[in-house]
Amino acid sequence: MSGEQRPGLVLDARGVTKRFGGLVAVRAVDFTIPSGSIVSLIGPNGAGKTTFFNVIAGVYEPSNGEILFNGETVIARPRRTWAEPIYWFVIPTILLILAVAALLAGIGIIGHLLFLATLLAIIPALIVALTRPRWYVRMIGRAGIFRSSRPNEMVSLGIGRTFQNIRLFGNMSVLENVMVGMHSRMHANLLDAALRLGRHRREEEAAVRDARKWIKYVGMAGYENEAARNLPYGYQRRLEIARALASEPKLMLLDEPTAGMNPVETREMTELIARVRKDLGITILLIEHDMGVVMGVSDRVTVLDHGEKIAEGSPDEVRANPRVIEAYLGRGAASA
Amino acid sequence: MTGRRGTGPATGGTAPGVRGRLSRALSPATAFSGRHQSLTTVVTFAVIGIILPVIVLFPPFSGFGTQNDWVGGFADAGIFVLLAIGLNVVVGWAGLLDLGYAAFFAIGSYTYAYGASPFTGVHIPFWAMLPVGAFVAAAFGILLGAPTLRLRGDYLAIVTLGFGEIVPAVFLNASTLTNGTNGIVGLDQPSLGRLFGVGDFGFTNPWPYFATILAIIAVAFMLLSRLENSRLGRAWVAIREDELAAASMGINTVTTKLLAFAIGASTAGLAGVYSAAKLSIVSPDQFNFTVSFTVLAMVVLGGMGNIWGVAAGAFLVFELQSQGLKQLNTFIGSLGLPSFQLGPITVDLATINFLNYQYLLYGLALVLMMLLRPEGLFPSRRRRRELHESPDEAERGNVELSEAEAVEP
Repeated sequence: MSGEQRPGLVLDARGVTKRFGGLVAVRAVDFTIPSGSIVSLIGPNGAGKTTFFNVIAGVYEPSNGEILFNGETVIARPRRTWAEPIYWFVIPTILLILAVAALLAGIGIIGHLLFLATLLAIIPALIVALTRPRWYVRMIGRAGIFRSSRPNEMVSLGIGRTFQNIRLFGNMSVLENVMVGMHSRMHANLLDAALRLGRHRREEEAAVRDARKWIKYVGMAGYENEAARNLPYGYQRRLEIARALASEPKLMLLDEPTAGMNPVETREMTELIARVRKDLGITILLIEHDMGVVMGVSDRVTVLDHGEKIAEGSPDEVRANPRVIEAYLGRGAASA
Repeated sequence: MTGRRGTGPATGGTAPGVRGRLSRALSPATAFSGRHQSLTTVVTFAVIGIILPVIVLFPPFSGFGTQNDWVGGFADAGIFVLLAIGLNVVVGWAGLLDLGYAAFFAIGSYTYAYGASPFTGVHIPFWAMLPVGAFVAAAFGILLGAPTLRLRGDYLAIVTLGFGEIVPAVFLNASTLTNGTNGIVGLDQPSLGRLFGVGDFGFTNPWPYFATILAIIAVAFMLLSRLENSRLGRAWVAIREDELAAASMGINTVTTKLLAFAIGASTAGLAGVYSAAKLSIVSPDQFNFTVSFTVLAMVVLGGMGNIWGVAAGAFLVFELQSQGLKQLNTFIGSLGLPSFQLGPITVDLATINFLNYQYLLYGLALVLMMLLRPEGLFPSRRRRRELHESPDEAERGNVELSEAEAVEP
């Protein structure tokens, strides 16, 4: 993989293309995000912003191109998603076939004993697969079976996100929502929880403390035990940000964080975004329709139209760019 | 809606008045049980273990059978309680609809049959076979889970249904290995050796079985409720709520779903080992679809997602079908109602055997439940939230929305 990279880039997407059947949603987009900046992605409806965003978040696999995060290739074609079920299957299946073969070859009791013994041999394999998934994946990878990278792996790398149409865990409390956000930063496994080891208890207590901290950070102290679905709209948007912050990301992807908000809520949200960058040093990629927000907070703006990048630069440059005006207002407006 | 909810059990909630006062009075107890969850579980089951056999000594229960009959019935009910709390992990917490749950019950039973019967000539003690059965069932839970990882909702249900049919079919047809329809007989009895002077459990004395299943359920309960309030438990609920959002929060949906399958299956495996040892026989017809369906109905009626509710639901349903219907027969027979003519049919209530209408009554109960109280008898906090949004909350949402619309240019 190409490891060379310009310094100071958090994210470097190279030639990213995404096709859905015959439709090219994103066409050969090169895109970089400098460390510590707020970068906006704008464009008319259906320009492919959210698709591009989902490629970075690991939800869609790109049809072409690669994405580097902190200089390391994290997403690239081909990802073999079909291998995923097989990879949980391979070792147990081989063992089962062996067992049946032994059963057919063996006679009477010896066959049965072999069968039982082999059944028991499957168990360690599965335990390894479940408790040390990465180790198991590497092992399977050596045998030539690759697997896809999934959204959760992007989170462990340090990419947090929010959704355009809010996707909170509606029936969980605010506190629980934020604690789910911490999932990838916690380590307790099945045994820790079942035996309630000290490690587990300490981790849970620390998690509750941190979760309260994040809830306070987005200005929602006092709402910890409210069900997420009962929150007012603006608070749901904030909670999504708190939940994403809880995974301690280096890069935050915000998909239209001010959609459907009134001017007061929009201003508060803009302040919050600026504060996240300033206090926590988190790099932010923003998709937004509200030009006031985009122009006010962004260091750099990229414009997509029909899946292609048509302009890039500082907010003022982009505002003056005739192609951008054309994309938004039509040809006549650009020439006028 | 709100009014009826107010009269429900004191599980804490929004309705003021009686329930509020009750929950305030109970708050020290609630706080204690919150802090010492496992201790509370053990104590509760010890109390249940004492109360249940005593209660049946009093009328009307004493009229229905001897104490030994009742205790034997409780020991059977325990199997379904165990199955129900296991299925609750898969269906209630992780939200994966599993229609083939009896398969894991079967696998647990056959594991015991292979490990402790004259059929294989291996005689591993019951107590050692309990974890083995759980592990083997868990392994098959993962094997079933693996190919279904990309499936959701209806599709998953169909695949699990298929698996539930395949497993008994294999046990039925691989007759050289399983003795086919006749099943494997003469399984070893559980034994305590010289401890407590119990020796082999035998067939006539239900008490050791009762104590054993109570202990197994208590341990399963303790472990499962610990999991519920852990990183893993939250991940399960998050997946049930929104799988994509869960994945985008760093939850490995593959391992998490497989773990739900594995843990649900292992509980069924425990139930299988116990049931095989109690009956001393396994045969494929014990594990047909009706078992999966019955357990699912118990989970739904009890209150999906609430482990105590599910256990209570399973116990009630089992006792109603095994004792309630029988007593209904006797009761209606004793009334001496005259038979009457309904068109061409002569209806004689006294001769109706309600046990034959078990599944009809199940169906009725489920239909009524879904119409009147879809969250189950003893719902979890989350389910209640999901199914009953109080009107003022809905209004609040609308106000927010209209404000937002108003300012949009």
